[in-house]
Amino acid sequence: MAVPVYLFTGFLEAGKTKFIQETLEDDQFGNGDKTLILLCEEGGEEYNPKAFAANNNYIVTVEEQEQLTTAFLKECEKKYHVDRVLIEYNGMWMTEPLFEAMPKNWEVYQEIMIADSTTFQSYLNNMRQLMVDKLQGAEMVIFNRCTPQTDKALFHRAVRMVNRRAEMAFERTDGSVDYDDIVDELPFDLSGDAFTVEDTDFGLWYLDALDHPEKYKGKTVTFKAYVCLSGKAPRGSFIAGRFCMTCCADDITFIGFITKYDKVAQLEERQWVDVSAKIAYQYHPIYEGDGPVLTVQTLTPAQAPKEELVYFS
Amino acid sequence: MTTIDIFSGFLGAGKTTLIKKLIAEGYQNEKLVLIENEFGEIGIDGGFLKDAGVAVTEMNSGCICCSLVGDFGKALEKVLQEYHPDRIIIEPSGVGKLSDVIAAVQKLTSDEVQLGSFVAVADAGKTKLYMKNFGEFYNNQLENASAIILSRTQSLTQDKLEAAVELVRTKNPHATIITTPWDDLTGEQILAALKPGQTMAETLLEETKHAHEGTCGCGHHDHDHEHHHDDHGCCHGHHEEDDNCCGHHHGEDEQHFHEGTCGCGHHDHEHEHHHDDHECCHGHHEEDDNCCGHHHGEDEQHSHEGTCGCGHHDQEHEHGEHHHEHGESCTCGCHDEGHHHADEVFTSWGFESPRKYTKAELEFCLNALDEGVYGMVLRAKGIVPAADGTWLHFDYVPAEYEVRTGAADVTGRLCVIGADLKQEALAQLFKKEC
Repeated sequence: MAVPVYLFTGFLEAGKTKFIQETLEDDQFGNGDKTLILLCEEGGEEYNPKAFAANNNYIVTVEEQEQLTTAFLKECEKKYHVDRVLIEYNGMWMTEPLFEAMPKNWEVYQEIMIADSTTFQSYLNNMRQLMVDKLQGAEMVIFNRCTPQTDKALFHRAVRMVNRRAEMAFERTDGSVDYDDIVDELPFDLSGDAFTVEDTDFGLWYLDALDHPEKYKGKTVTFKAYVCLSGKAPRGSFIAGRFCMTCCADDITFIGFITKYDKVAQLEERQWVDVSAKIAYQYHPIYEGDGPVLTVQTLTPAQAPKEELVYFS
Repeated sequence: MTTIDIFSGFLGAGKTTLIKKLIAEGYQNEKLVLIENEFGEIGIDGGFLKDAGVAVTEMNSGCICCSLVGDFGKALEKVLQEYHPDRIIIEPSGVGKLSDVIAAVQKLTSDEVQLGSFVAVADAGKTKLYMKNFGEFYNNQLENASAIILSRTQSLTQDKLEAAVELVRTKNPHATIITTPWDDLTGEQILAALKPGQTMAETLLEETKHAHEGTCGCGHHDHDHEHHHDDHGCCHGHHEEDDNCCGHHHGEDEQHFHEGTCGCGHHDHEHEHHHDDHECCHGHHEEDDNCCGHHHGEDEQHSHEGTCGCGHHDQEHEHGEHHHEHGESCTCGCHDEGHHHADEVFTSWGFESPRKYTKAELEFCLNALDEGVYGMVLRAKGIVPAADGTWLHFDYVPAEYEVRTGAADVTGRLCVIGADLKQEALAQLFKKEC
């Protein structure tokens, strides 16, 4: 049976415990489902289970990241016969090991990042890798402790650099909440059937194309790409992409789309090309689901762009 | 010579605020370069630094995975070559290890560089939380610091602050822990506290040792006399301000005749000699350059006949050095051993803590020291914060003490010197809820 997982991320003292406490006090969420709370960080706040709407919640404390093994998680599920799992994750731990350890029947229903607006900028600047890790995965980012002086647009942009889909909410110190209403302007015009992505905008397009198929399906895109003849790509296709850097030289990775090309045999690994291709969305394991699959209309060898790396910052 | 000071501390601990204060009030007339390895929260504003004549170099690595060590050495060397500063202040990444930065500095091959202070700044209210959740890098900062400066101590209750200090102490038994709110301290005071030096207990113990060796040299045998021990002086207190002690007149064109016995009038040679790094006084002349009872004026003639007037028979003293080796024939009263055997007899007990006292509490404690249940207490001294926000200084010798209001210090300190001290009882006395 599938076990829904609600993952709460964010740095120490961001307000995760308070948020989860309030969530479980709400009768709508605290509807009687047996709930396991995996507490991976012991901050200044503590849970008050007496105030929870239902009384079948079990709190398990995880002291070390190494404890989070598949066996451990399976055992927790079995022991408490839980219907769902809430995880208050440690801000200093990367999320990847958690996802890898999760039993197959555990399904992340929602990933919410809680961020303290008073420390967000400093933490993002100085602990970029840890912060970006949480920002990238979040479906919702809640900035709390906001004041009228809080620069919401700045936070919005910071999130959008690495995450095109996350919704945002800004909770003020008085408890009132503003939902993010900033419209993201894209640097390319999607009003017609075809559009061109500038060399510097590849990262933005990449993220947006993954998150918003409805905007791109059936359109023709023109961009400069680096050829990767990956064995993972289906026969008759290559990966058209770019190298991108999130924090620093240590985390440079290749990002790109499966691109069908009837003359793929003529391509050389690591060559730069100008591509025009039609966008479709199809299932592929690389995407762990549906993702953009391009079909080349024209392709010509090209010079490398001025800046070979794409930045998410 | 360039001195390198390192100020580590987690984001938001107050590193930048502290550095600003030290630049404004502490580092005087020095050519400074500030190396920032962090995107500051407040950001030291350029105007302020320009006015202060400080050059700033930023090294923004920005995340944990790029530890600063790689290029750090190169960047430091470049700064050295470019600026030849008196001092380099490094504000490393808040999530980095202090030991890495220290190692990077130590790796510098230049002879022109020395490591100064390496500080951990820690938000007093968050020590427990951060220790538990951050572990390695945070503890590393505390463990490797030569001094730990707690920030925002004024916003903690007394109990919480004391608990925080104790917790930090478990990570670093030796570092000075600054607990006084920064506004109550000058930058100069903070800098002075960062330099490794003698602890209050060490200083007091030394003073006491020299003052009470074997038989007290002053000729008073039952320790009931008054010794004047003030902050500066080790002098045994007979002639503290007197230029003409020892019965010598130190006029310019004077002749001295030291004949056999010391001119000070102590014939049994049991007067006290003080030996410590700072003070040359041979026990008689506190303000006098001329230790050993000799006057070293320019136009002077000395006649050393047979024995030196200071009571040393075997050329044990060396003029010009403020230190005396006492051989067997030293006449200060110890006949069989040197002067440094006193460790075996005297011990010290003390602690550093932000704990606050009232004057009445201190007086109660100091009176209690005479009761005999704490061992033979010879001296006690302290500088502690008072409950009313001022600071209390006290000095104790048996049956006499003084408690007065004085300047703030970086943390409260007190120590007790004596023989056969009952440490547990003392801890009870000074730490219990009064």
